[in-house]
Amino acid sequence: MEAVAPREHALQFTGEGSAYFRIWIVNLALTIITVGLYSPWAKVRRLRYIYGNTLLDGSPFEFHGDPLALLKGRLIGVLLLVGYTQAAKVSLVLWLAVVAAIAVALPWLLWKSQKFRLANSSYRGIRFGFDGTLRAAYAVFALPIALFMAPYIWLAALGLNGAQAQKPSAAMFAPVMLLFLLLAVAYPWIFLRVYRYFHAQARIGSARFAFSATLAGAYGLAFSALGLFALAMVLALLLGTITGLGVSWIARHGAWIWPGAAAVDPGVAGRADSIIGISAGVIAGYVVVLCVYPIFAALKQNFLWGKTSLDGAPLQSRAHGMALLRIVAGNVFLMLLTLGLYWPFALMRSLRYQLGVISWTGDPQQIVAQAGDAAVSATGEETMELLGLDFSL
Amino acid sequence: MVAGRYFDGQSSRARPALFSLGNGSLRIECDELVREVALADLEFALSRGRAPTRIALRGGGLCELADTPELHSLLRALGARRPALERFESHRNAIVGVLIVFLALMAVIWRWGIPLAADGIVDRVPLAWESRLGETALGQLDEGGIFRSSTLADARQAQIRAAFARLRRPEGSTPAHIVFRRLGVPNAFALPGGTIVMADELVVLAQDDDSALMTVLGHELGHVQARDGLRALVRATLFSTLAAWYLGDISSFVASAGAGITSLSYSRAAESAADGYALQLMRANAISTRGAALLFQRLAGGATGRDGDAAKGASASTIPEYLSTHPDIQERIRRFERGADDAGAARAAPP
Repeated sequence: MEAVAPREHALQFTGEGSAYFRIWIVNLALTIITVGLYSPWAKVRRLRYIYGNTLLDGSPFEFHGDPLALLKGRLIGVLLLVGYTQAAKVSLVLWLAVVAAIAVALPWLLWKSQKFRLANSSYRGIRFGFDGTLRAAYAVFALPIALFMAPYIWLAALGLNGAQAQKPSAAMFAPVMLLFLLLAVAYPWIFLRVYRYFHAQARIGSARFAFSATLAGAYGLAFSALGLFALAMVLALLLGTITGLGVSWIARHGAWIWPGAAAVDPGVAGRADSIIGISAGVIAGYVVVLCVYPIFAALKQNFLWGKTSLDGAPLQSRAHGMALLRIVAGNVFLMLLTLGLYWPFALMRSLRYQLGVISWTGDPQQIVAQAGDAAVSATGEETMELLGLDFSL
Repeated sequence: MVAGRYFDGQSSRARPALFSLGNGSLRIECDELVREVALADLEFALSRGRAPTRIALRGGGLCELADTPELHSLLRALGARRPALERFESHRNAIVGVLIVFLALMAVIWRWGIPLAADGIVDRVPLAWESRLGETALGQLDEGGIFRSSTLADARQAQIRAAFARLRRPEGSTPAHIVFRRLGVPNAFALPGGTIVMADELVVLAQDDDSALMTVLGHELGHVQARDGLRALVRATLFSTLAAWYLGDISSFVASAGAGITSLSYSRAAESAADGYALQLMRANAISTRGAALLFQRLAGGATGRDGDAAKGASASTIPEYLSTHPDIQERIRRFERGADDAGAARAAPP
């Protein structure tokens, strides 16, 4: 064995649209036929394909989740949802009780599902693990959940006092606005704490992940998002106005393009084609704003993975916003053209890019299993023991 | 012999290894180590592409096998079989078949499943909820500036309301009321729960012919009675749920666009039924529907640009909105003309 200087190992994604399409369409058909009962099996098949085609140093990751465990998680989710929607019919108090119960259970559910997901992932026969504690989950999630719920509880409390008979007043909604503002201002901090909890407590075998992002970094990311959004709004306004004016001009004068335009009373037409113009402008603006999302996704991915290290060696993520935008734009276009049937190809394309730009400077040969973790081949018991709750779709 | 890499399950160190069929087992030769693992303790993850094929060993350990012709004979000898579903998926024709079945299923759900489910839900929604929904919708349309307050004279509004109140409807009909708004286009529609929105522009276009307005209101009452507004809303919600599921985590933009398209209109059947309701109601109230036929003619003329005079006032919109949701205008005009004769006969006959 020669001692090698740490070199970068990029993730390689080998999934292919043509193969994934087969899995996807069969999953869809089976899920419809079974009225949704097949969906946990569908999810496992999907994740196994995606994990199994994500390679580090030539070896794939693997997903071992038990569909039955997922089904159980899903049934609990459905129960909560039914409780949430039906309780409101019975009484406001019962609804509040259900909402409170969900709020209290949420950190526990998130903690369970993260444990489940990682305990059922492996690399080279070595299981991932999640060591975050339940207590820490409550510490991390209590405040955001409380901030998020408070407006609803406040409004419901007003309802209990019979305030719905009154006209809504500014005084009633001021606390709600204040809470939303607070949530928005605190968001980067909450976001950072959540990711620190999820990333810093994860490990592969005994190789631990660490997360070094700072509060300044999180707010920096938030401000670049705001900046991007502001820029997009200006562009959208500009493009929207130009498109709107152009389209309404064509609607008014363009009899040679659209014969219907000539026959219309100008006074009425002015209003009607301004409606067409405004619609066209709004759509153009909307498209510009949509462009922000891939660019931001690239920034966010670079931030999150760039600040993560594994076994003391840093990870890098070098996604380019414009490159991702090109991919996503092409995907959206082809999906619209094919009524969504292009989706599996689109997913493979964007994963190939988004995973391919992530690399690790550590040594993939030196990860050691942790005693007590399940052996890769064992299935069922461990996962059931973990209750295997998973709420992500 | 198949070359590959062996991992002992304790460390991620890749060790070059040779794999072959042992005595009812998988034989692994790796440096100094020779290991035989019984077939029952093997778990196969057969590659479906460029990733290597793996064999996990119960009790720890993992083999990665290079994709060579020998690999396939070794796997066959070890009794590795792809899961039935994977084998099925490897046939191109099977996939084409599934695609066709899937599209057919989606079409069936879209065409029959969702309407049926929506009917079931609508039957269970109390009228009070529906009214609240309609009020909320009206509030949003008002606040959003899509509706502007009416400029019709109060006296004219009161006149129409009085005529509307005089309409005799079957016992137990859903109560309804009119609100006047400026919409920019001559239109009228029923919100969920019995609120009928009447555009100033339509009143102007009717040129003081109250029988035409009553027929239009009768049509809207048909929608109110059939709860078409709520039905359309439930359908759109179900459809967007289906679309969101189908499109998975694709941007919700695509999903919401789909819902917009379906919520565009009531079904042709619902429109036709509402026309039938209006005709019956007018007949019962001895009101001629000829005025309505004329009004529709003016709407149609304005929209297609054939009738220059009809474009007068607030009529002719370049978005024939009322028409886009009301297909086959000529057929409707004929129907209301025929209905007019019936009503005329009814009026002539002694009560």
